[in-house]
Amino acid sequence: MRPVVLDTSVVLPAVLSPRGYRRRFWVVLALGALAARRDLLRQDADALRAESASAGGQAGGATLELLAVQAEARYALLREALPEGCPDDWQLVASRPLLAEYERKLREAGPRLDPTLREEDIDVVRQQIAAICVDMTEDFDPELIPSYTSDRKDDPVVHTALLADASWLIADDTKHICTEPGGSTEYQLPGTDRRISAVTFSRFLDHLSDIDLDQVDPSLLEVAFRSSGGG
Amino acid sequence: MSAVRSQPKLLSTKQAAELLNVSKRTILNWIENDKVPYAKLPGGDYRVPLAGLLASLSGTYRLDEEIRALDERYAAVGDADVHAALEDEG
Repeated sequence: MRPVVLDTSVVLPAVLSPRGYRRRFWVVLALGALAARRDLLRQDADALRAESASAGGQAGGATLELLAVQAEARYALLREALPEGCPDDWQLVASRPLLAEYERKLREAGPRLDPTLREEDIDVVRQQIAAICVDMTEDFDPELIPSYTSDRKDDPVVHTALLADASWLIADDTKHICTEPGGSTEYQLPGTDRRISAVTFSRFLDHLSDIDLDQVDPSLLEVAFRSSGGG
Repeated sequence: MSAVRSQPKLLSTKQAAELLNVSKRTILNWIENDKVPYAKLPGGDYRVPLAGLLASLSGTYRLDEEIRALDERYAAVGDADVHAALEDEG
């Protein structure tokens, strides 16, 4: 599994630019989410049953087994539509503060692209991002994390990537996050030996050797979210 | 933490609401309408599994239709346009 954490400078183009390269990678991440979700949903089903049994309660609502079947169906459909050999082990990881930062940036920058951007649109984008996340790190207070960058607002994405032990932090912010021109910028979790590398999206493509994004149809994103599970 | 967690995560309704930036009432509505999986504890509290919650989003929202509609509105927007808007924000 290859966990990645994305800065707003990558996520917002992925969701707002329907034909861009970041959207194409977003589709690959959607495939990774569906692949991982099949297993995670079954783990959650066991946990829910155990929690209910130990506490004397009862499980209810949408069944996790059904959700796992739907994830499997969506996975199969998306896999079929993507180029042969498209990897399904790239996984998006986020955190609650990072999701909040995505939304803050969307609220500020979104209206510049489209003055008619509505609250419902922001809601949909946020749920879309959450639905592509395979996992969330432990929660943290952005005010209490170490200072990694020259802009305090960029520290949560770095901290999230370190907590996630991400393979890559991908950011097109070369002013504060990817400050090594043309290379990777290294960050370390204080008091540990955990390190992550931050790279720009174009630099990341050099490492994305197992898929040619030119072959990925960016409009396939909706397949990952079909309510009927592929029907 | 590794990418694929070893321990499933069960969230309280408050944690689930904070995660998705919706009200606790919204989470309770989803529970009451069987939109998301949950465990009801004897004291009346609920636990919602993280993966199940995230997987349920396409059922609680018509994400496929919403994404298609947004994409049609933003058809002419390129990555550089979004970056320019972000730079304006500073």
